[in-house]
Amino acid sequence: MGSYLIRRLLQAILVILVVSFLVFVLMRMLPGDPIEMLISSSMLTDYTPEMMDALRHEKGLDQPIGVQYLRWLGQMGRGDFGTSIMQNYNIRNEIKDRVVVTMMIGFAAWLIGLIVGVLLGIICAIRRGKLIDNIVSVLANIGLTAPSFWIAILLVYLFVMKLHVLPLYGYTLPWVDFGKSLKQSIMPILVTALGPIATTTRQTRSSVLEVLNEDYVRTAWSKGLNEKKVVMKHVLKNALMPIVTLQGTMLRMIIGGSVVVETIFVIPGMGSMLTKSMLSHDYPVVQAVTVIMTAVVVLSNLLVDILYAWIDPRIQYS
Amino acid sequence: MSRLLTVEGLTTEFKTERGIVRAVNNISYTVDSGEIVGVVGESGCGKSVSQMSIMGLIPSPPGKVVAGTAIFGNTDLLKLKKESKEMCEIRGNRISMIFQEPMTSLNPALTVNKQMSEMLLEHKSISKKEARERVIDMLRQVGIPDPESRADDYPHQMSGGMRQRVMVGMAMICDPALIIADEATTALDATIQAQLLEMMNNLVREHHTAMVMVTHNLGIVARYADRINVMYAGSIIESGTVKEIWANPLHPYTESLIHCVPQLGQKVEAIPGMPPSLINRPPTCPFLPRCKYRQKCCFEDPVQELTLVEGTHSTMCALRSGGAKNEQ
Amino acid sequence: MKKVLALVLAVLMLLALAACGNSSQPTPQPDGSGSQDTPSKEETPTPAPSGEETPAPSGESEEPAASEGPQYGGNLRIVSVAEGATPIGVPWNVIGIDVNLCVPFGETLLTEASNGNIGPWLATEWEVDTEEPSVTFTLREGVKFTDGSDFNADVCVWNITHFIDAGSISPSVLSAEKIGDYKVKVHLDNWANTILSTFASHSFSMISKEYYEANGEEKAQENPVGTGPFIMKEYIHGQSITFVKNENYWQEGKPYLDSVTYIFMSDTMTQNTAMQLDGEDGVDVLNTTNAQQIITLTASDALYMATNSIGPVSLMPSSNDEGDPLSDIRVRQAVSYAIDRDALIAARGFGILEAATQFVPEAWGAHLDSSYDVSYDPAKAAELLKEAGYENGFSMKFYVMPNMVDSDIVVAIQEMLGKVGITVELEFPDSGGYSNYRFGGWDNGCLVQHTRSLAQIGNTFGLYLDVKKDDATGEYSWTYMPDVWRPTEPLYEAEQAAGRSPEADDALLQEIHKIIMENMVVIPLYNIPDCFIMKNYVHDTGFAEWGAGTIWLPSEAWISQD
Repeated sequence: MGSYLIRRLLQAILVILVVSFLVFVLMRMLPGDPIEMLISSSMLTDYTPEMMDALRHEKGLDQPIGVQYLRWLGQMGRGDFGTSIMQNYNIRNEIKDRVVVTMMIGFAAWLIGLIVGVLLGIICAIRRGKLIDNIVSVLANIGLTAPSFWIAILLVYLFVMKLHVLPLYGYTLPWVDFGKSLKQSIMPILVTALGPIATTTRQTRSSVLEVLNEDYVRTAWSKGLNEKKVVMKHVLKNALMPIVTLQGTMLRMIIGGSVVVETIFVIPGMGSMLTKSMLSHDYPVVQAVTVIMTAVVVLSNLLVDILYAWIDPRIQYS
Repeated sequence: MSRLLTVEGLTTEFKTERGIVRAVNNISYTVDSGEIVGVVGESGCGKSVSQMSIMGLIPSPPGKVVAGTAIFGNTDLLKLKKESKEMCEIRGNRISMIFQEPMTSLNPALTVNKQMSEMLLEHKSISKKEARERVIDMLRQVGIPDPESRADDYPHQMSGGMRQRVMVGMAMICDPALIIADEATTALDATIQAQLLEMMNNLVREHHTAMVMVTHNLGIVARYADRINVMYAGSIIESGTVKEIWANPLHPYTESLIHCVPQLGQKVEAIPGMPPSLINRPPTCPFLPRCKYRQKCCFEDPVQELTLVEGTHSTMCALRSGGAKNEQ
Repeated sequence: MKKVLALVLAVLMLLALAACGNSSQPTPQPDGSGSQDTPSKEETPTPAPSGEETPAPSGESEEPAASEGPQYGGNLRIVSVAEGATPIGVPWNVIGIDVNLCVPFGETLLTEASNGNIGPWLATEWEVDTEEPSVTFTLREGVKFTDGSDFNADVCVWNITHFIDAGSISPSVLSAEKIGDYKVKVHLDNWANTILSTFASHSFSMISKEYYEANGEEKAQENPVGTGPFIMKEYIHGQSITFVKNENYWQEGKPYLDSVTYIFMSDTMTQNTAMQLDGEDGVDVLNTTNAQQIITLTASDALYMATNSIGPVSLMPSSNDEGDPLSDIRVRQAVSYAIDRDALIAARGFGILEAATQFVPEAWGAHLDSSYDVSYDPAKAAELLKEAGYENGFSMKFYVMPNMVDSDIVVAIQEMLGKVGITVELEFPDSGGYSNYRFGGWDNGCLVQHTRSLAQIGNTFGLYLDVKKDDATGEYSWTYMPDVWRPTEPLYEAEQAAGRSPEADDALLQEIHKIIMENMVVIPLYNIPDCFIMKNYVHDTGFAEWGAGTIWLPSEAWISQD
């Protein structure tokens, strides 16, 4: 297990390196120069081409890509994420706070997605073909296909404009003011959780259905266990594998959702930072954010793999 | 010997895309306490389904018990719902089952001890610790070496034979009145099969547990069972003691079956033809198309029920039950 | 299982409903009576953007008249499109639109109205020397920073020196020299009258030297210390920044507001909702150029708008290819004649957009007489094309600027040009791709670009049409993009002449404008306004009256407390 972990961690680092290199190169292959975009978006009338060149030099953008990448790697190695080209802020300081915010919302959404999705999936599987199954399946399809900004608009209309029970924008960390944080988080979490709920419901339904047909479930029934015990003890754990696998990809979904949700509800997280920096070609910010997101995804996949062993004792690591 | 289970007119159907399949057609039989009853027939003849029906384990939909009673004690098992409390109290506790597939019938995610002791915890008021002791004791009885440590094994860490021993132990652990062994040894190789059967036989005799032994192997049944029910196409077509049937098979199908049992120096005779489709079955004897003795009266005046011929021996064959005169 | 589901749903509903709260909604009543009353006409300095008759380029300001004079209190919440991550305490480190966030705490030497007029602020007077290029500022006395230190010539010189060292100020500013306790002389490389607007930009706000030197740059960045009417209280990066009243502000009795909050809200739906909400969740001021959003919001009785012309969306003909049909003046004219701007506006103007007749809109002095107006004349377009040898038409491409340009209008233009035989292919690049064309040049076609008119119209020419001269070879070239056919030499001369006059001179600026119009360097299409939408209870902010440097006057703004 120990050597397996070390090997996987090394793999994870390799993946992060490869992703960071690809992002690094791809960002620079996209049309558009950040310095030019800075000039045109900010109406910097006093910037002469000479000053633009000087700025490009100062930011190290005039060097060959390989050199830029190595220099950036070195910086990252020292924990220095660099400075935003468009706005001159220290990326590390900025990300530090934003990661927490995105994590809070993302984690809550993930947890809700998992719990609600698994519960609904089990109910649908057990009551297959019944009314509740049909209702939930339709809702799950809506949840999967409806764009999250649209759901957000509906929620805002209902809870903010009509009922006046939830605040429209802003975010407070729960340990600062729990009540306020809760109110501000409900809509963002709901919108983010919708996709995960829908996906998890569908996955749970189908994998529970599959397990329900397994011989050992029949054995469990033959033992005289009641439905609850059969499902919870014998079905769920075995149906969990594909659901756990799904959680790895769920992260992508949540990160993707955070981009929309953070923009709509004015939440200072990583998602809004990523979109804005992508659009303005703020290379160092995009690089820093993608490296962190890649790390989160890679590590959570590792976690998922380790979880497998707990779920299915047949799996061994070597 | 007291009567344990009385099945009357059990009929089970499955809804399929091609029509309604009557998998079990109006069968009746009894099981007395402590006896071993063999149910024999080809695959797909409804022997497993009949047993599942009694246990309330027919997957529904598409399956459904459409008629019959199965009186166990004072309860009609067929009236109980699959999830009902009463049924759960009987299952595993009073009647338990051993399934055919040792590889897949145990939950891969739980240890042997967990899977066995949960039955005790469910049915007996007993602590986890005591349950574990009973489990280890039972594992010893079914011949698992070093049961203290093997109790914490997962199924995949055991061989097929061992797993089936665990299944047997599991079926025995609550000391039920009746065990239904559904092709319990079929998937195992011959030597292990013999060991296991021997062990099962000893155990049920020792505990005075009744057993319904479902198999396609007449040889096995002949060796261990007290009485035999021969099934064909969803019906019991012959019933009697081992002796009666072995000595004087009445139904042509049973006759052919006996010829199928491999014996030294003899050529095994296969039964020509295939079992009939169970959809839209004709009212005539289901074995008719394959029967080498068939006569006109078989078409005209088919016998639909088991008819007692002598002693406990009964058959459904019109020619042998005396219901029609021998024209040949 | 059903119970579990019911429980989960119930908990979710409870969570949602337990968070109940403010449902009261006092609707502000726009006062119908009384005359509009600017708070401090007689106070120093004059906050009115222009001394004279000039109706500032600001359009219809339908600000509801307040019955009484300014009232104290309230929090003004402004939607900001800025990112909100940059520390703003040290202006020379702040680039881009985050500079807007310096307005409440930082003050500048001068002010600039939206029509370009320069006014006093921290400097009460300024003297220009064009011979030996320099500006001498006389500083206001008695102004203190919020850390208690004095604003004087020392501090001013220190600030300007930092701007120069950081390279953030125009390269023509060479040095600053203290020539009296409250007199500072700024030496220039060469004189350009647009330089004064530099000193009105909040990129060059004055900050406390004492605080910076005692605490270091890092701390100074996080803790802005200026002379302004407000002090930064809380900055939640990416969400909001809050400023509270400076009780010791140098203008006695001001500011009126208790606090000012910027909220970094980039989503249009959220902005619209927030503008329509009363109470805690609402916002008070929104700046937008999105016509549809303006229509949506101004439909509300609780809101009014102030608009400010920001120049036309135009076609910029090809820069790379001499053999291009567009290199022929007759073709460019034909394109212009083929476009029915009034029809475009009737269909997609929403009552907000206006047909552009010239490159510089009417609000500026550089606007020319009507003989230069572009007009619609398809027959003439056909004739010109024939003359140029393209009677069978030709094909070209439009590279459409993202965000600022209405794509439906572009499609309509495509159709209009089709009628005279010009086939247009449309390309909608993202902002990166667009800036590549804008700075790298483009073949056979036009940029569809918003050419923003800045308060100093000279700066607009500088940003979009600047020509430089290589002293060694004597060659002229376009500063920000390659070019093959444009009248670079006359433009260069006209730009030099206009820049060198002691003050912005409309007649000289008109000369540049004439060259642009006569050569159809730019084919103007329609003018778009910058629109500030405000709650009825918001008064005297000065939004839309002040140029991009000054932006608004937080010291004057107030909120009716009904």
